[in-house]
Amino acid sequence: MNILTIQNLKIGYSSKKKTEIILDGIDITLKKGTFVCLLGKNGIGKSTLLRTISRVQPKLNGTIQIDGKNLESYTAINLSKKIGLVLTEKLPESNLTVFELIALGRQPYTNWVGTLSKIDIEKVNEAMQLTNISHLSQKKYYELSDGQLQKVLISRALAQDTNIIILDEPTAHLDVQYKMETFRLLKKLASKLNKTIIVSTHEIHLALQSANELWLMIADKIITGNPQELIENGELDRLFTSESIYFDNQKQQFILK
Amino acid sequence: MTPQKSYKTTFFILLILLVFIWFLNISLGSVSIPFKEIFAAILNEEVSKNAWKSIIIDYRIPKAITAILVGSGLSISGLLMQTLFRNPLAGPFVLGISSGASLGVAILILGSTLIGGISAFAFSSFSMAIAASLGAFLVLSAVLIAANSVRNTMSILIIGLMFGSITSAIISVLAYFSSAEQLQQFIFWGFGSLGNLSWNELAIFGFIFSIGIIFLVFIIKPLNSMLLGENYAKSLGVNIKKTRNIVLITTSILTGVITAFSGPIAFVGLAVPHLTKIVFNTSNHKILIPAVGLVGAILMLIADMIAQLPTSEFTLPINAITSLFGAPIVIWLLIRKNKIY
Repeated sequence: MNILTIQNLKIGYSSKKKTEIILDGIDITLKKGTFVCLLGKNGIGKSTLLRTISRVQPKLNGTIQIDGKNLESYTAINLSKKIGLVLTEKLPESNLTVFELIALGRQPYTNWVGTLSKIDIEKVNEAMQLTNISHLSQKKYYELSDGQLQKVLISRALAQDTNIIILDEPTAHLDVQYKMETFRLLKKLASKLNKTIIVSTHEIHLALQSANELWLMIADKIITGNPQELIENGELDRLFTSESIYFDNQKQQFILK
Repeated sequence: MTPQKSYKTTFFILLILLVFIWFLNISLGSVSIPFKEIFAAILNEEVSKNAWKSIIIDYRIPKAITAILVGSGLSISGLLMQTLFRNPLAGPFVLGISSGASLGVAILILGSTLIGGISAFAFSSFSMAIAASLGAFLVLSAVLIAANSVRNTMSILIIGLMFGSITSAIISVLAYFSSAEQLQQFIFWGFGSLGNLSWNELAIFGFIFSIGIIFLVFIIKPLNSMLLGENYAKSLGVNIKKTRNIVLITTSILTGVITAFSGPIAFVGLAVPHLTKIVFNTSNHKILIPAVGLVGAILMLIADMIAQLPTSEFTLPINAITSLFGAPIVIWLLIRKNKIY
């Protein structure tokens, strides 16, 4: 069964005065354990799509189904057991340690004052081992480098124990080494733990190497398919409208003319 | 692996310190009374002078209890504000909430000539508490609405200051049209005072205070998730609106009732959470809320002892003491801990 089914989805922003449509008529299905990279130029609406799928913002029209159930029919707590998020926004200032930050991912499962049970602590430790950050456990989160913090945030989503993890540009501020490590980690999580992972990114080269599936977001639609297929059909060239660059199928990257 | 520190020893030490300072507080005053007699009075035994007993039972003990309620309540309100606004400089006074409570009281005391007819009812302590809470709620809601449309933390503080100015202006207008007697009453209230509460008033104070505190228990968990920001909190299943409303109501009740009974007291709500975090190096509200309450109570008792100028007949306005000590502490915190911005 598909873990995610999107039909005729319309996304955008609506206020009392006006409605701004970003994209209409989106149809996507996704199988469990897939690693998806969402590509598209700046401002095309990648974040809006991810925010709509994770119900951070309301859709304008159409249906989104998670595990065969309509997204709207989930209670907040039940949805938090289905989708974990890694966002781009900066964390507010606090004294949280790495352990405490990741442990907040267990909130949907803890009691009303948030006491961690043995299972919760186990899950947190597991999440830290998966991302190789166990040694940072007692550090304050603000003492970490950007790359380490990103791993912590991914661990937090893992501790939340959801089948779907959505990440919005997780490698934006990272150096090449952390970028590659992050993609390798996400790929591993999808194949080993059968997590469904949706990542928006500008790392086209890394996405082509590691993703099972690409969603190419262009002006009027989203093209989905596996990377090889999309390259062969020349779909990647449609990603950018600029005349001065083209996608080189051999080198698997964009080249300046 | 040790997940979270519980700070049991620290709590124990602070609790003993609180009891010790509470005794010290009631043993100091313009009239010096021997320790033995003080114990006797507290234990309701024979005291050699009747006057001593009444000083202790009817004046010093209520005052010391008031100090504990005021100190802990304002400090906890400050902590809640700092988490809700994600701003280390938030506090009931900075955000104009104390001014809102003052406005409520001002309308009661000064506005009675304008409204008329309610003056007999107006000065009952219960109605003061309600008026102050409503005033606090009004300003806090306004600040919160404004804060939602600006993301910048500095702007939120400035908006809070502006609301504070608006309420002060309204109070000035009210003052202009009031009688000298009403004005005097309002000014004395504005100095802030922990004393002068009867046991009956203290009972009302304690009752309303407890209602505010009970709400707190329900928001410990969502407050912790708010440490990650609203969107993460939402993705963890937290109902942001509900949490925000509970914080709003709790803070209004606490700040309102405290301001009504002891005047607008500055800097406690802002400074104590930061001082507490030096000892308790955590952001977990399950630990921080009781810790901030304890430290606030202790510091307020100390401030009260300083205000009494031991062995002298004068008592300084408590508001002057908290400002004199609070403001430098805040400046020092800002300089020392440059990660506050």
